[in-house]
Amino acid sequence: MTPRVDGEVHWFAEQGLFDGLFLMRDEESGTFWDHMTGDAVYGPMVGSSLEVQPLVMTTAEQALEMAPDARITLSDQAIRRDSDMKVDGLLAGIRGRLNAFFQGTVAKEDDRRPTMDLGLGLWTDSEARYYPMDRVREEGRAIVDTFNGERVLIFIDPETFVLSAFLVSGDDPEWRGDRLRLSDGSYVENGVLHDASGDAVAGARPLQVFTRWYGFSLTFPETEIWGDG
Amino acid sequence: MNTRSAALVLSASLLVAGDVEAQRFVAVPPPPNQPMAEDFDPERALFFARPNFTPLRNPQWRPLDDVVGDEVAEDTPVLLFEAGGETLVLVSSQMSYHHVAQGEIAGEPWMVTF
Repeated sequence: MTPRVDGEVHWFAEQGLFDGLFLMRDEESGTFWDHMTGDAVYGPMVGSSLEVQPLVMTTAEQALEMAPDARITLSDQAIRRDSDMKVDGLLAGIRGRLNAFFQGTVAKEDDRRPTMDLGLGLWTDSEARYYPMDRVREEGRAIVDTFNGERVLIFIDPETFVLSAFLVSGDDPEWRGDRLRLSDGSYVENGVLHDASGDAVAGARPLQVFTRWYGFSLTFPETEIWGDG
Repeated sequence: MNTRSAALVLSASLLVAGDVEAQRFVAVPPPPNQPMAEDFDPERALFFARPNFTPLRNPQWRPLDDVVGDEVAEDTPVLLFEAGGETLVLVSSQMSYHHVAQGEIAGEPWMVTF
């Protein structure tokens, strides 16, 4: 996300909750912003939007595969183990609903999917689509779909177990070990999309978020669900 | 005055995955007479007196290759993004505390929310 408002950099922090998701507030104008879409929702800057870019969820090892020259920052907050993160996710799934603190900010949930269902959301200014993780798993952990007029590969990464999307030209995804091949010879391996000659393809990710259903459906109420109808 | 308009101290634990320490949230009334987006309801939203989590600002960057397998385990969940012509990485569990990271690199402002 680019924190620039009317050409000026503003400074943001979490400072509110709405529809079960946190709101950011910028210090300069006191406006509250949707942290997923970058839209101003309450305050003097309503009508403005922050530019949003794709964020890749992966592992440290795979990040190094994707970008050997990548740089990292480590804050003074302890790094929690992967296993701890998985336990938190498991507990949330078992609970199956938002806790009361969050629930009070939600008017009405979209019951087309379970509240804590995991999936991948894609969106543009005019369109949103949710891909339930269990349905992608049923399809062999990979599908090719058309979204916003472009062909997208939706797949569950075998290393990170994260649902991800690439813009692609090929079709008919087929796993060969941990390599996911498409009909045009392109393939995904270690989280990187390669063309048929093996070169990494840069900038091939649509806007996406790996999220729970409640967060995506409350942010994009008109979202379609892949596989429904 | 609705239930959220009085200064209210709320305790919440297990707020989201990653926020295991109980946090204290001081809710305040919505700022009055503000423009609002369609579908936004200030009576349903919670507004806090101050950020409950310290945003990560202007951090220092190190080569990822120097820390993986040492300070950072290989299977550590991370977030990867591009800014200022560089590929940058944040640790997901640390972002579940900060929620917002922000800075500037090569003259380009960047921000990640989580």
